[in-house]
Amino acid sequence: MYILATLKTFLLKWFPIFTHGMLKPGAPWYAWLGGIIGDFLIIGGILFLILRMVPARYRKSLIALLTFLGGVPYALEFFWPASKGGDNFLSLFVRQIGDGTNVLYSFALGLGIFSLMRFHANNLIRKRPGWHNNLAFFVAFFTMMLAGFANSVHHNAVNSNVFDMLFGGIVSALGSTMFSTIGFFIVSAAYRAFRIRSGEATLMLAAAFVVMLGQVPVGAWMTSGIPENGVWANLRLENLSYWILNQPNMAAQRGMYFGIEIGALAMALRTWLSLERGSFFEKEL
Amino acid sequence: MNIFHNIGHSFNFANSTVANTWMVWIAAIGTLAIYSVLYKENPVYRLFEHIFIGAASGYSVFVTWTQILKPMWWDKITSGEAYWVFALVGGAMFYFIYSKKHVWISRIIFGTLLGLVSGAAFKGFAGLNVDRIHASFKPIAGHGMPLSESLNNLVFIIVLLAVMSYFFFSFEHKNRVTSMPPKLGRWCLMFAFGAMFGSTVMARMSLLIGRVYFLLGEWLHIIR
Repeated sequence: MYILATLKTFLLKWFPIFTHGMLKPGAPWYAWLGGIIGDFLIIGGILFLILRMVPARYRKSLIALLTFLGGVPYALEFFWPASKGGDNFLSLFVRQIGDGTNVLYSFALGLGIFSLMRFHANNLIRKRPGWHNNLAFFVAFFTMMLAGFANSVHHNAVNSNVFDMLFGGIVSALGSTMFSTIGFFIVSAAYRAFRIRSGEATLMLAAAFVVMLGQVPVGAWMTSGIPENGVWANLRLENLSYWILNQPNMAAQRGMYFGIEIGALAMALRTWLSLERGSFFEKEL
Repeated sequence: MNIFHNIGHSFNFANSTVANTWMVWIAAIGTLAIYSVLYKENPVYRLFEHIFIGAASGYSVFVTWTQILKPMWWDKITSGEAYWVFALVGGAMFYFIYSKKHVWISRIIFGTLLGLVSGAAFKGFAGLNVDRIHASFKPIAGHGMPLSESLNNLVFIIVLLAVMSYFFFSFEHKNRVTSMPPKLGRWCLMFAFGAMFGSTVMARMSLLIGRVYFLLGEWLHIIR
């Protein structure tokens, strides 16, 4: 922690020049924005010049070292004995790293948005067939984004209603419509998967049939003649469906989950220690 | 004049009833346009698909700013925690992926992020699974335990062990003793896949019912 505190003090002494030295809380947002851009250009520029000087043969090692250092705080925090509250001296630092990781993820979202924009802009500029769809993409993108920000910055009746209208009318409604169409495709795929060819396929069909019937009123109606209480009640379709989902299905899912988790742990260790092979890890830098 | 007055009234978004009427109509037209693909691929579906992707992307940018970047980054810098500027430098390194010459710089931040995620996964594995393993091995007999609970717990443990044995590849399952549990595991897996399939189909069906209910109820007022 001493090393980290020293590093933080050093960085704050020499770097963020504008945001740390020249601006105080309460300054207007555009001053902060200018300060952040200024600091970004200075720090980013210096870092870029340093990284350019790194010889090609050391680049892989540098990446492996930083990958390893990225995971160290979590491992240390896990193995270090905890105090009575369940935390240790690294817990707060690890939580801050978690916030930092979320911020990095958010900046990475721009990669996806940029790729989408580039694709649609290319089609639009070259007026490829269906270019009006690409135009619709941009109109929808900026309208929704601006409506969100307008409602967030100036919350009034018009901005709030316009945002709700766009969210409820497009994002929410079309999202659930899109997902519900998958139901049709699943059923057509099921026809191929469920054709009774083997014992396993029959078992799968039987389980799916009981679970589906157990969740609709007609299923309950089919077995409504069976008493609601007593041992025989277990044979009512809604109870059978509930039991299948919560006992054998849950146990099987947990078995799979343990296998997946152990695989993920092995994968995480390989990635952390840069032992993984493949294009990302082996390509010449 | 009266016509213009009415048009003006139709766009009076300060009135929540007007905005709601617009929302219902946009959603209804969009829903029908998306469902039109079930008949065949058509230009109206394509248009609304692009509108949906655009609006969802715009919304994700807005949500990322308001729920993550503003509280965790901007507000911290503007309240005096200036070192958060370094996160922007790290975030900008992702974009070197578009430079042929300096693409390796993007790998620094990708590598660091992989390290962070691996560390979190490592810690999460122990935190989550120790409790889960403990909860999975349920008692099959005990003081005052009903027979139904004993049987349920027995089924749970047999299925769990059988499924786990199916994924055990350390030695070949040659003889009857070692080949039986994986075989049972495969049957249990197929049974569970069937149950998961049924559950997924019903979830999609409930969405479909929701949309049909919206069209017939909120839009056309045929059902209430």
